[in-house]
Amino acid sequence: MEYEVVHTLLPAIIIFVPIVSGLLLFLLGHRLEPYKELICIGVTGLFFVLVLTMYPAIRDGKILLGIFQYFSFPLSVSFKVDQLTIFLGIFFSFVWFMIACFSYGYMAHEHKKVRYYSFFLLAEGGCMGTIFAGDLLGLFLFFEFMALTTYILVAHEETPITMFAGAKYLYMTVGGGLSVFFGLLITYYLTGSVVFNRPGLITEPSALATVAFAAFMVGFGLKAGMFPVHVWLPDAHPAAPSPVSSALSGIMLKTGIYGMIRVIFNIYSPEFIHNADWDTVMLIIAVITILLGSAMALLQDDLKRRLAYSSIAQIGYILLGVFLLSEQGLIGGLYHLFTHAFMKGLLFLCAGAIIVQTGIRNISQMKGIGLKMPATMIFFTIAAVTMVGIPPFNGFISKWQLSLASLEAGQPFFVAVLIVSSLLNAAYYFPIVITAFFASESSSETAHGHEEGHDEGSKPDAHGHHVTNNQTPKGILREDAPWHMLFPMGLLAVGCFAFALMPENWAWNLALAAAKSLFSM
Amino acid sequence: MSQSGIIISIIPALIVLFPLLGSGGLMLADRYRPEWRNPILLVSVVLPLFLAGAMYPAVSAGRIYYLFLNILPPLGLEFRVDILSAYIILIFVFFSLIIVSYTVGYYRDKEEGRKFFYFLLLVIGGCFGVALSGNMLTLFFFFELMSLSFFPLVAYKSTPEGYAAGLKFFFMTIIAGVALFWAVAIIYNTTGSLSFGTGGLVSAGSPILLVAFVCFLIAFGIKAAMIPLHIWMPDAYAASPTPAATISSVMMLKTGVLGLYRVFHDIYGLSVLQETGWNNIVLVLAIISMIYGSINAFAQDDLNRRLAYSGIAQVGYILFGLGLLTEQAFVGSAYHIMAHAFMKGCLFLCAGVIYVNTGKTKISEMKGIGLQMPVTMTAFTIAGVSAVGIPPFNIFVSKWHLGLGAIEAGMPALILVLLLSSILNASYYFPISINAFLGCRELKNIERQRIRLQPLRIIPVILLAVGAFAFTIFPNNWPLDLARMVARLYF
Repeated sequence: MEYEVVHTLLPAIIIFVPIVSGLLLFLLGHRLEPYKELICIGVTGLFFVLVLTMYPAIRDGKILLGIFQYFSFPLSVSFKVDQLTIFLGIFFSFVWFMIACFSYGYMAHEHKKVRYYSFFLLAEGGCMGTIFAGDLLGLFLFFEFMALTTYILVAHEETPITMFAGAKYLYMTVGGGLSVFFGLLITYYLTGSVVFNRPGLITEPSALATVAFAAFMVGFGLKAGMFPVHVWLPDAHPAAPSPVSSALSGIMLKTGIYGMIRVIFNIYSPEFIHNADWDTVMLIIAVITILLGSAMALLQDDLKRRLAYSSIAQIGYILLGVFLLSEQGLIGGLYHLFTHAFMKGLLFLCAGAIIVQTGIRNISQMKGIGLKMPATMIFFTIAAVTMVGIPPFNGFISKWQLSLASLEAGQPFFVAVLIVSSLLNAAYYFPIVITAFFASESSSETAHGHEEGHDEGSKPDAHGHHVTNNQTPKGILREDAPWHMLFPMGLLAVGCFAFALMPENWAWNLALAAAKSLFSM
Repeated sequence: MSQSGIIISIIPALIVLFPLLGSGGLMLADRYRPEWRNPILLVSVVLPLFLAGAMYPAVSAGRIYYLFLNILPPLGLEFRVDILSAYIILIFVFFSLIIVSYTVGYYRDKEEGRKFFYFLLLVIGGCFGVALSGNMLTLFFFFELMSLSFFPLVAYKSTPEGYAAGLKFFFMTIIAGVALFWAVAIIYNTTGSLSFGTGGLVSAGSPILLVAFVCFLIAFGIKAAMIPLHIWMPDAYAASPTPAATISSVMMLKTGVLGLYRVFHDIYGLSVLQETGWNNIVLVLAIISMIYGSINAFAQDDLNRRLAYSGIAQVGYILFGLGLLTEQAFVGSAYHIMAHAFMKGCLFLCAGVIYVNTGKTKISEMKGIGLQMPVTMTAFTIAGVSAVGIPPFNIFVSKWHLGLGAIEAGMPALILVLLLSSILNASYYFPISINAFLGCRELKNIERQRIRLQPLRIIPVILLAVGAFAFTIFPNNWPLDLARMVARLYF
């Protein structure tokens, strides 16, 4: 299938919408202070719509390409929207939008909200710029931009623990960025270009090509949370405010995967990687990532930490799909990428809602919380069921596809890994759901007592808020999150199964088109 | 270069003359006409800016400004402005204007800073002279003028530390002068000429020429703070007033580097160095500088000292690019001169703003300083991020070219040294910024009060911070084009 290339600066302009508005919000902080939430929600919503407007052209088999004259460090930067980009762009910008809506409620009692919302927009711009970049240099530029702006978000609460986690994130990310830089440099030296094109740029095997591949994998793998460079992730996710963890885990980890996909298909080529046997190494790493993430998740009591380890495991799934280097595997990987964005985003938002409403972070204290916050916990359950991969939900489709692709590749072992991991998923998600809904009254009261003791040590900013919650008369059980928090969570929850129920699975078709576009040409 | 490409003109001499005359004029003005003081200051740095700008079009078209003054026998003063000189002088005139205006703001109390300006202008004149000189002896002359005038600036605070640091600097300068003298004598004896622009006076390597080469390295290496000749620098920077440290870092370091450029490409020439492999001495020292400087910077609590060690590492980058002897690496090296000037200049000016407004010099005391001086610390953060080599900042471009040069030279492993140094950069600059802005919830309100800054103190800082990315975001990267032209001159 031939794709028609349309030259337009539209993608470039779209990218700068959140970045410019984020900067404006930050610089005119005191003037725009009353409208900060509106601006953030409005801009992320507008961004989603703008991305959608590009969809019809892409559906008709066009590729939007904008060569950007500015930011010409040594080379010029270009922006490109193709089937893969639009697939990620639509869903990611939607999740960003939902997280922005959720932030309104979550951040209500936090400090420095202007800074939060402006960096939120900047991080979105960086993240989407990474996806929309048409060459490796642009990808690197926005990748670093996203990494640095996200640091401010991760360290938002400014407690010592947060600062430590943030610093770990920052330095590891900078290291990862430099690793990508190394690969970028070698690629440019070997080929004189860093533009994404099919077939790949590097065609001759050489020592430098190997080194560059390793550098790319370390750099992007670090962002994605791949074993063994995942160590920043379990610290950063619990430390960040929940909407940020949600964005980190649901979206930003995927930019690492996206970078890897670009490296595999546009810098090298699948055949090249297969011939060099690098895919075996990466598959082994993927399996380790899956098993390690799942096993570690089982051990955590902090809910967000458990979710963080679970993210590592899920990234392993996507890696597995991608590095099978077959079209089926890639479809599975991409579909899981989308699935995971929705469900993990949702899980972190649920965790955030629980923290805001009750101050509880630990799973052991969550007995009976489903009775207090029924809607939140129902959404949580939906996401958990998706995660385990039970039929009508998205997770089932991606796991099904990944298993098929593994079998097609003659690797039944991976199916076993997937099944084991699914069991582990069930083992660490279902107990939360079960205790949340079916714990006895007495145990819930002792939990309440614990919680009060626990609260004294919790962060001072939310403290006042917790106290009011704890003073609620025992008769009132319901203290669910307000509607403006439940609404984005609900939409994400619907996203976890809606596409799977429709006669035409739109997301699936998009993933299919994306995989096709990468494997054709 | 064809004969028709030479323009005999007095402009280069005037550029050097104005700051020197300005220094004298300032002394007279302070004695007789105090109200003329600021106009004299302004004229003596602004006129060179225009003159250098006037030379630029012709020089960038490949012509050369030349002037021979028969006033310093036996060889005479020779000015020669090729594209390298033009590139360096453009940086110098811009930064001298920035530093002089900043210093006016720094010494708001005029009496205290009165004498500072005499020597500041002398140093500036010396730097201009080094940049524009057309043979090694002229360079030597201005180099000494610059170094000796810098001594009073180091010791200006009249503290025991300042005195000790000044003395250390002074003796090392003497060593540099002696070494340079010896080297110049050997070269003149062997080749009978000291002129630049011939693409290498020396025809083949010999032991005596190696001695000269090492002497050149010592002389210019001291000024450029190359390991192991850097020892004067951290002390001098910590003890001297900030403008002195800034001018040293932004301009004097670069004269040392420029001297080495001239030694490499005008005295010895590419082919001789490739044959003898003497460039590897510089390469090894540069690599050690990069790592040693970065690691040491890590351990400093005094902000100026940390910046000084970081400067050692940054000079390591520049010399690294020189030592690799490939075109891309040379582009990176030349570009890094500009990039480093903006980055380090901005950091030093920020350190100075912090010092004059709060009296703080220790990093550990600077918690929450970003709340007091948000603009200053934002500029500091921009410069710090730019030091790590993240796009779209200047240093990304220089690292890009240095890296390409390293692969071109067949040593891709050396890129890892660059990367190691970058991550170290991040680890010693980021904590300062982070502490300045974040994690200061327990600070009292009085410590959060914003400090109003004088425009003369803050505007140079903002200009330099903008300069850290201004060139790279436009379609044409003007300094990069210049750096490429310079490289084409030699490769």
